[in-house]
Amino acid sequence: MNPTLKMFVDGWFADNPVFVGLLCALPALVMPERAKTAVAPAIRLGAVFATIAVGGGLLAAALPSPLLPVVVLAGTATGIGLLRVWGELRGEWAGLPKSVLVLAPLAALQLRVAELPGMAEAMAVAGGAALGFAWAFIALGAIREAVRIAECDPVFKTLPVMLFSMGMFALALYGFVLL
Amino acid sequence: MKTYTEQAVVLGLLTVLGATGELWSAVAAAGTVLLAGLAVGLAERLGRGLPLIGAAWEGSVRWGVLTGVGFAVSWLCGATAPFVLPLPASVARWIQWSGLTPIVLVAAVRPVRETVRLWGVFLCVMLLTAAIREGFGNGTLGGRLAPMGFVTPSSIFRTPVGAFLLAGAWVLAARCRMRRHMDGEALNLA
Repeated sequence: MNPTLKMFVDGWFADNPVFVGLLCALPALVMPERAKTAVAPAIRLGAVFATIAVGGGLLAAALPSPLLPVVVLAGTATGIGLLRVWGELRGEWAGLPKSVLVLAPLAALQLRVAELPGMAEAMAVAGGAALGFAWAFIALGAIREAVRIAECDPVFKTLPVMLFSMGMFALALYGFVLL
Repeated sequence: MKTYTEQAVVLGLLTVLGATGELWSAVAAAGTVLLAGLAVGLAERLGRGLPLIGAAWEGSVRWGVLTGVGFAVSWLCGATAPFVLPLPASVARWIQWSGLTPIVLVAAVRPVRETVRLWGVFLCVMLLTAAIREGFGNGTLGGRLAPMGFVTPSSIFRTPVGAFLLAGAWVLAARCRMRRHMDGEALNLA
């Protein structure tokens, strides 16, 4: 397989940013409520993650390294602004603005792209990560919905089952790492 | 989120999952989170207290400054930690990102006592998770042969699978403990 295409496909499975890369685990754990209502946020978040990762990452790579954290923070703020304009990240979570959920994913994806050698690789990694995040987000929405209506002990409901499920997804995706 | 353990795991999820592969990594990441949190708490009090800034200290400006302070501290810690502790190169990135985890920013919104308790639980979660992951995954503790070193290392503990399963286990254990406590109180009342 073409190495650039492999980078793109790895983002879906072998290097999935939720289950294997872990960068986007928090928004995927907390945000989706149901599978059906998770589709639109997954597309919006994925699109913004990819755009900011490519834009911020390439800019960070082009500028001197002392400016790297400043560029990454500016890119992160732009990404949050875009998501807010798109109707996401409104309200609070755990007493904090909901935008704190995407701070680390946006910054980490830019830093990751900044280490890549060229535009094609940057787009492949960012696009693969966005698609990988989107399907994981929707899958976790479906799991949360199923857990909420399941007849099980309340101590298992939602968070423990979600985390164990993410572990099982990671275990399944590690099969692709071994390929 | 009811228990402190549950809050510590979720608010610090990125660090709990990513920086607990080895004990020293967890020490460095937890230390960075606490330093960044202290800096954020200080910046919040300064921002509120100074008459010139106080009026504008709301919304995007406030959170932008606090995020910048947390990230700056963790960026510096990530750059210096490999010179102080025996860390693999890949861990420096997790330390640099740890300043962006929500557990750093709670210092700005919660009372001091509650924040300190949350950070204490977070520190315990980090160290326990790292000890289990490194001990069972690599057969070492802090890079030295662990007491259970004769056991064949199970690499699953060093992968994200082990991190997710342990994080889920802490939350489940905390909830079971709280329920047992509540059941005991109910029995006493009866």
